[in-house]
Amino acid sequence: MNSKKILGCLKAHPIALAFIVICVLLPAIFRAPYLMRVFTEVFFFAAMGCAWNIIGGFGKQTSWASASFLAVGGYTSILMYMRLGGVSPWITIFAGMALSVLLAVIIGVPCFRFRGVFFAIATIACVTIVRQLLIYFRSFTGGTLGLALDIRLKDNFVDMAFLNDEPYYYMTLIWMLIVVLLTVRVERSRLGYYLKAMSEDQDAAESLGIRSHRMKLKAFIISSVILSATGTMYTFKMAYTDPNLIASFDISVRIGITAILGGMGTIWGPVLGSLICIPMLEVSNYYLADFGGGGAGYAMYGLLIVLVVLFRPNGVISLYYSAESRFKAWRAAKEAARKAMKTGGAV
Amino acid sequence: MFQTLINGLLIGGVYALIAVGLSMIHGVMKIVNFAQGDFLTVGMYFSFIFYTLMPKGSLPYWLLIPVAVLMFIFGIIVFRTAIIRVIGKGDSNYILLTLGLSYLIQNMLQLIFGPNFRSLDISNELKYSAITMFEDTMILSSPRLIAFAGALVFVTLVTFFLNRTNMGRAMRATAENTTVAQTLGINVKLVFTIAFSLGTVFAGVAGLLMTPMFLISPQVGTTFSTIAMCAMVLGGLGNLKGAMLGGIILGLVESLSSNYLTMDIAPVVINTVLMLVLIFRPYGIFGQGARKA
Repeated sequence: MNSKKILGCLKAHPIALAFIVICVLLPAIFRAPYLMRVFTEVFFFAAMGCAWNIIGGFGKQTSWASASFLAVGGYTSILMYMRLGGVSPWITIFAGMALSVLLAVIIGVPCFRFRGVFFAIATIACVTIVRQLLIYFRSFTGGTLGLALDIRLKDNFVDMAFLNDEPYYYMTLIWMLIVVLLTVRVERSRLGYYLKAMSEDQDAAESLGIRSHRMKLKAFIISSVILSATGTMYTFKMAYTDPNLIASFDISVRIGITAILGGMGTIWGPVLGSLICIPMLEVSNYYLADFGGGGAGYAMYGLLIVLVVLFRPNGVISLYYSAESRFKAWRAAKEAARKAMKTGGAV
Repeated sequence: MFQTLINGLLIGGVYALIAVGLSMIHGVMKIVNFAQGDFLTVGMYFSFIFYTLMPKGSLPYWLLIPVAVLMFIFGIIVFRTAIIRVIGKGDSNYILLTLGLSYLIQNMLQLIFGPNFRSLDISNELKYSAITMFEDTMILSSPRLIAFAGALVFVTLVTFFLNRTNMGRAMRATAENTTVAQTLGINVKLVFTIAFSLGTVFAGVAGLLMTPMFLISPQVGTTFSTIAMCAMVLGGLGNLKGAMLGGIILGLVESLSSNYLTMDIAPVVINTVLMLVLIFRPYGIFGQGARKA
């Protein structure tokens, strides 16, 4: 996809363009570090949601193994940084990606034999295994205590360590946009069409000669590579990692839900989902932290999921689509009325 | 060795109870309830509330009936407001709905009761009472034994219910083929409701039976959710006896692996067993017949 095409795309979606412009200008307008940190989190989850969307949205394979790939990326870089004398994460990010390809094949080859809920259960089993192994090899991975980096006082690009929040903000923004472009690319590629065909009817797609197992694996690998790179950045942003933060089933669920809440199988759905979830959690954690025994934010989160599944199964973004189509119909009707007026009512 | 096996067997009985509830829900309406573990937590909190009302030092097992009734009502409410809308609408819908419910329940409980661990204030006589056998080489802890026996009784009752009553027969017919059952005049909606609520009752009763040995916290259910799902798959979907044996096997596996390896590695072993069964025996260990996976 060249730059002209991208510009054309953006022209066709003025809201997306406005969103990007606002995001770029946000730190300049509001000098609020907290806001920036929240948005960094939003971009992280948007990127993860987009990655999940490739396999979960286009391929309709609800994978709950996403956290394992985050963990592979995060742990590979942090371990190489700590044990090999500060190898730059910009190099180890690729090592993490390579390892996550390996893990994607190990998980994907058996799991893609199953369909529907069995696939979901199998990926849950996989994510639990990875998490427990990270806890078990505690001499190497730090166990449940996790690993902490001492890069907090550094401020250079090579170590992915910055004192301000702005570099992280722009880093994640750029990464999110790259991931969105990648998903556009996947959607419009042969693989994207195959995935859509398979998600409609796998047997029919197979009878037309689509090798579904291989195609799913391909999508899974693309998704896992993106997740692994995101994991590296997330870990270095946090300067800390532990199995519950990065490898738990809970995180997998939150990634998947981000995408589904926004609208799975759409390009901007995961971004929208992340824009809704993360600020909602932040706001409720801030204002409702002392309300009852805590947990009000996540209770609202759960309620939101239930409501979206019941009333908007195609995600919040479907609201926009239906509004858009209504607007178009309204405009067409107006146009027709004007034409009818011109011809004097003789249509 | 014997002691480990016995411990595994006894805890396996409780896992079996959760798994049977899960399997029943799946058998009848083809839905895997990812919130089953949280229903168990709800049962635990119900027991906790009632127990504070009871005179000090009384047996918690008297709460069986109120907890079961409340769980039944809870199940009806959850089913009628939410679950019924996603039946037959594809896998990802119900997976998400039940996961959302799981978040909602966990955090509502935390909102009400706080994140702290709680336990029933039961008398030490019950807590530490045990039957020793074979000249003290084997100790059967009473709460565990009661939990196991309770689980067995419940599973027997439900088997009786399914095979000997009209409602049970209607339920099996619906499980076999919903459309045909409906044309034969079975009230499918009612059958679904009862099956789901019975599933919740099973989880709640398992929660009650576990309260003397486990601490109560809002997040306690998640582990049991995974184990119950493993047990269900292990036994073959919709196969109640299979789910029961699956639960017992998982109890044994867990107990053996945490005793001879470490606590952390037990979930790895359980999930590896699950993966192996899925790959090599996709109908479950005891299952025969077709499955769509």
